[in-house]
Amino acid sequence: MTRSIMLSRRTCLKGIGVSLALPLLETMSWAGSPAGAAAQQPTRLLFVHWKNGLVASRFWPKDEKSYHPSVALPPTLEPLRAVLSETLLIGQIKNPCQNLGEDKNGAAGHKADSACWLTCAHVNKANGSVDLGISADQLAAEQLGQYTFLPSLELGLAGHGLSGVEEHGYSNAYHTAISYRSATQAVQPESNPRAALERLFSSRRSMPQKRGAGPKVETGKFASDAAAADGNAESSLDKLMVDKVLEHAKSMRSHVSSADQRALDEYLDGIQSLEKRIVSIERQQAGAERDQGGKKKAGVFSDPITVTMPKDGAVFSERFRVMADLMILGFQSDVTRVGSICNFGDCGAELGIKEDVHQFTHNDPSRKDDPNLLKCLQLELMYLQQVAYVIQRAKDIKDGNGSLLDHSIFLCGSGMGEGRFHNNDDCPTIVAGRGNGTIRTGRYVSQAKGTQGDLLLGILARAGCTVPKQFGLNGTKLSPDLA
Amino acid sequence: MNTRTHHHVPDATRHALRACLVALLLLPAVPSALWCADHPDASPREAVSATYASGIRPLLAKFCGDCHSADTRKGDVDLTALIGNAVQPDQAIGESQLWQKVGTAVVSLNMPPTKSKEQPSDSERKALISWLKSLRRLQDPDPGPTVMRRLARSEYTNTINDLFGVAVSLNAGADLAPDLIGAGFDNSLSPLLAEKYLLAADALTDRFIVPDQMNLQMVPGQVSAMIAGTEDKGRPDGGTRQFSTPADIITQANFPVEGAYTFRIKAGAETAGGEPIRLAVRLDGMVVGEITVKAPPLKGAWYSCTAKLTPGRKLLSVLYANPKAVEIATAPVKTTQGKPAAPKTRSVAVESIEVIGPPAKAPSDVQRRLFVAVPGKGISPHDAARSVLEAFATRAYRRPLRADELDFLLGIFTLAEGQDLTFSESIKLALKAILISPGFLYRTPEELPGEQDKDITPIGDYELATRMSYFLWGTMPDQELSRCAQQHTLHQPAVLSAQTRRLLGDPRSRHLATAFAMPWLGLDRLADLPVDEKRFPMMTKDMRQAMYDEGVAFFLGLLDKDSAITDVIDSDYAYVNGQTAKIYGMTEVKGPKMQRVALSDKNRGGVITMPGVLAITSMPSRTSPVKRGKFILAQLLNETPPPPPANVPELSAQDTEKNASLTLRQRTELHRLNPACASCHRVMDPLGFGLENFDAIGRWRDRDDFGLPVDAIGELPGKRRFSSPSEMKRIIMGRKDAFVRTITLRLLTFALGRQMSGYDEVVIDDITDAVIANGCHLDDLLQRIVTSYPFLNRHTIK
Repeated sequence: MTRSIMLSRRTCLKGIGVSLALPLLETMSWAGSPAGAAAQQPTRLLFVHWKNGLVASRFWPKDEKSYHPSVALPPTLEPLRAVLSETLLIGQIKNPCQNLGEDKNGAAGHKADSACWLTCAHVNKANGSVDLGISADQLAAEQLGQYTFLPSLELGLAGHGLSGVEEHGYSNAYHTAISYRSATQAVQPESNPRAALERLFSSRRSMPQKRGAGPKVETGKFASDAAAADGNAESSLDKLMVDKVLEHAKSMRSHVSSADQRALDEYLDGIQSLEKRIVSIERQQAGAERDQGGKKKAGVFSDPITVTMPKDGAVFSERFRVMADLMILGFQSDVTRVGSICNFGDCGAELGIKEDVHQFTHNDPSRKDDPNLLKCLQLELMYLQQVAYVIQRAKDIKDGNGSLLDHSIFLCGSGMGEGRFHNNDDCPTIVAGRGNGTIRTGRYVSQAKGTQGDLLLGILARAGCTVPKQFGLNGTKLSPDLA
Repeated sequence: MNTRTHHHVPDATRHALRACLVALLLLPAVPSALWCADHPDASPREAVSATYASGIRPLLAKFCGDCHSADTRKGDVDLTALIGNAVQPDQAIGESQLWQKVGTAVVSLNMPPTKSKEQPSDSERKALISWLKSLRRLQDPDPGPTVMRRLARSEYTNTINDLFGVAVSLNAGADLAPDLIGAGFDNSLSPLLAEKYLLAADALTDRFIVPDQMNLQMVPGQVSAMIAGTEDKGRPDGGTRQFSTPADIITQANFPVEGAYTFRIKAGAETAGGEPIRLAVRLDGMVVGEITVKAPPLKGAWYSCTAKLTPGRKLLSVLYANPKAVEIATAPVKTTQGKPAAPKTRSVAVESIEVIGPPAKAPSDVQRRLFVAVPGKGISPHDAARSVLEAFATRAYRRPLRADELDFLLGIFTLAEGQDLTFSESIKLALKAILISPGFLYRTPEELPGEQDKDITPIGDYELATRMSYFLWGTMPDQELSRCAQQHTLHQPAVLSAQTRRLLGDPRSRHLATAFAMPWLGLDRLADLPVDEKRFPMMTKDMRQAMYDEGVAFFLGLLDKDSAITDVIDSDYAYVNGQTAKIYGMTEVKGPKMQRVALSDKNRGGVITMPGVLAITSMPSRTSPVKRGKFILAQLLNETPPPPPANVPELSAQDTEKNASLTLRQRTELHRLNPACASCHRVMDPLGFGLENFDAIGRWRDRDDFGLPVDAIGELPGKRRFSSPSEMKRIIMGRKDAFVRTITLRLLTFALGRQMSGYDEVVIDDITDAVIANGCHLDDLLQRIVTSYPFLNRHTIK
């Protein structure tokens, strides 16, 4: 029960749209790529999280040799069969967060496995506010984001807000968000697919300047072409207005208390991003207009893409797939190179499960007929099916001389190992994609030589990021497990 | 059946905690031996100090000293500074952070661990808690951290509605993520959020700022033209343009709205060669209209054509396309002077060009309120803009503007005006700036004269008005409240009290119910609550709404004079409509309106037996005594049990054949066999079982989900037995002090938008005592919060 929209450049301008056929990278990128990287497609990073870990005995292969499509796979791993050669499974990955299990401050349990996954940090109560560390995807977005219209795209399925504290005093944000812009700032994932589409291909119109930004008389070229080429070109009035808002807000710093200064700095951070976004949107639209203006180059457009919007009441897997499609679209069009998807929400309904799914993770794997175990395995199978979907999707898309997946690194996993123990020293970890030839896939590393922090550092470095010496609590080296 | 139950490896700390919890949790209040009473004449500090020496120090030394000495330092806690031999009482009582740690450990019953043989008696523990309370009172009043706070989604929506003053909801902010007001508020402005605020500002200003009617007048000589392929830029003093070869007068124009535009051209022409003289009006190269010029040269006449246009910036040109022609009279005609007529050269003289936009609509109410001044006779655009922006921003920022703020807004107006935007378009750009500036999106403090010399200052009247209106209404202050702020009378106790009463009497105080009470009671989860609809077909969307509405009506009803806050625990009335009447079994109540109904059934009444609460504390297809017990402890008594341990599978024994015949009660009681689970469940479960007569959507029943007679008999620690919901509620009513403290703490947290700490505890103690002494009225409690120290004061910007 879904409705298909064939999206075109034309609809893009009207507000619902993306391209029917996307111009390939060379026409969409506007700021160029890092020096030396021109010869290859950029590496895209995607982080797909699922909550609560996994029932280990139904997931991990017997040994490294058993990670092969010709061998019977453990039931929860089965959905990956078709893309097994594109993935790298790593066992014994340790997340350093201490708040999942018993803790003298009270355990955050399942609520924190989202928060610690990409931050490798303890989640602190901090009077109900957020206090942990920057997440790896946001660290990547800080660097890779400068090359794209949207520095990063964070998608989710649950629609929870970030505010409030749960009953034992932890911020609700820890439960909702896997991406953290800073130690104190969670990133609200977008859970409305239409809003996400609008973010990727905005229909917003800035108020133009009367002089300079309009079409020029003789050439038929659009001034925004020149704007894209010439950094000093005049900006829209909206951009100038936001500049002034920023400038004035900065001057407010001296009028406020030090506590307010921190709030103001977070405000400034948001508005600074907004300013960049306005410019990006203007350029994106100038590009779209240019395409409309008959300047299409033959052969540089992709195959048609269809994004199917879910109807109200669509089940979890349908909604996940739309989000995955949007993310892939964002990568394919190079609107963004960094993404994250929080893979939880009302996921039980389509399996006929009404209860809060968390309770089923506390099951008894030694009893094959334990109803909790059976429900838990059903849910986990569904998560892995979604993971397989997004990997397959990227594999099917041509990108330069290979597939999109060849030029991507997807990290799929959880900040928790076995849900019933609340442990995190053997977190399920699936790396997919070859990262432009930097990842050796089709393997199972049963004993990781690096930690979760090392893994994240290794992934960031392979995507071309300059990495810090230390990441989170246990990232001290580039993971040796990836190649 | 999947009752969440837990086995676990016994853990000393947890076990200790639970055991202690049971020891004190529901014991009837024991009069505590206040050792302070021994020192009636001493100053509070001396009394605290003396009690420390005589009672507290020996107590701590006895129960804590072994593990928390400088040598042992268990859990990295060293209490030497409190109980060391060399420590003077005055020094010891100054160690506030360490005392706070002790307090937390003792109040939460975390310490001493049960494995330790030496355990304090109840009266010793109570004495310590009581002494810590008096120690807390020694601290100087502190309003706690105040941070400029972002408007929550509901506040943003309400404020936009009030700011523009439209009756229909604008639904601004519908696209934002939901915000819970209170502790742990997400105050940051993410890039996503910033973008959404801008899009909302776009939509609002697009809707309310309708562009002025376009009225463009051009003098052709001042506009550039292409004459025979050569560009002539025109001159500032230029006038009429005259062409005898094909030419094009070219400019750009912004067409603000969709509609019919009239192009008026004043021109005269010299005809030659018989061809009519035509001018074409073109937009972006497309001809949209044509006129034929018949008037003679230098006596130009107005000609016009009309075209329907889409909005946007376009290239506007007036094209003269007739080729060059010279007509020499074949038969010379004699003039009056007898001279031969000169040869006629075909030419056109364009004297003036005007573009008139679609007729402007009459200004709407919103526009009239917004545009308090318009440029005109004696008022320059800049002055008009100053009036418009100052009036709007003062309301939007909820305080007077600083001079630099007005300059900043006028700077944006000037920026737009300098680009030849019309007055209203220029105002529009400045309004957008207001709607994304911190002054609007955050509640920013008003600058107070001389505040830099102090640490703490009473807040200004504008800030007070803002705090009050957001606390009680969830929106900006109205005119009357703003006037009190402007006249600096709001802080006067009589005015403050009267205004609080007025705000509480206003329908907008519904905000307290929807933003505070519903999340507190969990009734905001009703809309999405998973319920087995096959089993409970009655649980429709309308029923969920009715259950929610009942909660709102009940809470607002507490503001009535004859209601008391303790009605939350038990009341002899309920709010019922036609939907929930089916749950209550009251056939006589009909219709969607909530009606207050007197209850004869003593088992009903209060929040605990409200259908919505019973539903949200149930599983999708059956009741959950554990959840219901936990609700009473956490939401009403502020005694949230610690989280269950992780490392155990479900109580799988529940699903064995042996247990198939057990009732839910018997199954649930199984987990009390495990001493570690028992400590919490011994309290939670009986409370929940006391409510087993209500099914998972709150209907009364005599038989449970398995068809067995309901067993609602329970016993709480201290041998307090009950056999019906009504008797259980009476036992909880015995703890009304704890309940009043809970609601006070929750409301103060909501009012201040932050977690409670430090001096707040003293404030909560004081308000609780006063409210109880005054008969437990909600309006009294709210009045006391508005006049409380942290509500009226803040740290300065020093």
